[in-house]
Amino acid sequence: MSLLHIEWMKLKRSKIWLPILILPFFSIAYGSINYSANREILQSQWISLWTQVYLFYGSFFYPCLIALICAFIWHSEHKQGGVKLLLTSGTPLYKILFAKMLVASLVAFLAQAYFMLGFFIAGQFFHFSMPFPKVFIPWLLAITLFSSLYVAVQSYLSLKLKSFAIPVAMGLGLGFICFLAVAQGVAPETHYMFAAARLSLLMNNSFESLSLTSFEWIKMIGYTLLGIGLFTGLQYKALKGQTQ
Amino acid sequence: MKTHKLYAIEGKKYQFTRLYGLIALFIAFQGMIALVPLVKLDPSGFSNSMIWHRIMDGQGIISVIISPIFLATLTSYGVDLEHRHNMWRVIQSSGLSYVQVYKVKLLFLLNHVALYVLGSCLLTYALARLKGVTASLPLVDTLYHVGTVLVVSFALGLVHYCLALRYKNQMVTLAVALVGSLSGMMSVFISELLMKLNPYSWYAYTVRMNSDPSLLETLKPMESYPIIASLVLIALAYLIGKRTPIGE
Repeated sequence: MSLLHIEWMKLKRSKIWLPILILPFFSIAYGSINYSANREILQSQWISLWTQVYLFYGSFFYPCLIALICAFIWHSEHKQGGVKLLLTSGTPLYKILFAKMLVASLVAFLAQAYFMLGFFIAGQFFHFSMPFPKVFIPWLLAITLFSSLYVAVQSYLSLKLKSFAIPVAMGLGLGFICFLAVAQGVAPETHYMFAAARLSLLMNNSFESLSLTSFEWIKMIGYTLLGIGLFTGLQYKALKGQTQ
Repeated sequence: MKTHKLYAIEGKKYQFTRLYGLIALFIAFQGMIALVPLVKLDPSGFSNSMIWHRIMDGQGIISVIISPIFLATLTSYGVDLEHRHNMWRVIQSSGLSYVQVYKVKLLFLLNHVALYVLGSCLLTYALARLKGVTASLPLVDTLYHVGTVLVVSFALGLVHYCLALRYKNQMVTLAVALVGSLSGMMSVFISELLMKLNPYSWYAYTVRMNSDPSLLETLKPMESYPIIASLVLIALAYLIGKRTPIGE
């Protein structure tokens, strides 16, 4: 059985699915109610609905949800010496790390897909005259891919800190810092370093004129890969440290 | 065993842990965010006392998002040690009453909630002064703001303490905090009634500047509702917590 499959099986019957199902649902439900109460002001149909359902969720709660997923994955290992058991299994450390990060990314992707489905269903209640902008899907996919950086950071924190709660709290902090850095334009490079936060904000503020140059994409991808590499390396070092 | 001795043991348990790092992190975080309204503001407005209301309003809104996660983290951290090492059984077999341990732990955690609330208010004040705010602090309004945030935090802290005790799986209390803060934030924008019903949005009662352009520079009256409702919630949660089955 592959490592990926084992990790997936561990999550399959767990309670992690509850927040993944409830959090996007609440965001869509509340956002839709708010949109319906302000339809006179919010006239861009699907785009306006998106601004009501995604901003808080995407900026603060989605990074927190990733933190929750990573904490859950590692916490089950921290309990009753599971990490030591992993280390004695003879599987290369990098394989263990990648399996965990991949499964966390996959769960995050499913959460985003579920969010998009919920958004599509919510939009049906408003009978918009414009068709569903399919372009939402690749943009959300890009956010999800860039949020792999959050997965790497949170996976590192959850491996290092045995407490379940602290990495989740730090996940909220990370989401806030990324959001503020991008929204306030602290430094030009932060726009590329925190690509997921930037795209979330752009989708909210200027979706109709949203476009990025190839150079911007390359910089965002570069920073994300660099961050993933750095935090995977740190995880490797932390895990290796436990074998000695 | 006497309560103060138990409290001292509780304090020793967390002496060299990440607890204080966590509190310091959240205090720094709140202080940093409180400065955001000042960044793009014309410094000529720094002598007007409304600047303090702007800062307190920002803090009130940010508390809706941050505080539930902090409270869930703190209370979860405060009972996780006992859950992990099956210490509840040891405590019970040692002859100590659960209610006594429950009270001491609660007191310990609420003291740290107070440390967080007061610490973040003091840091915000100091940072605002450093940034050049010269206006005098409106004392009564500040007391109302700090008092409301403190009482609401106690109420939510107690709710999350009960959840952390009840469920060994600490994901439950954190997931509730996440959903709570999201729903609290949304309730603020949706309706007054929803805001009243959702304890996670009670922090927003400390937002007192009018958003209506014709009423700018005026304040909404102070409301006693969040304080009274929080006190009721504290009483209820305290009674429920005393009878909570632990770590299921």
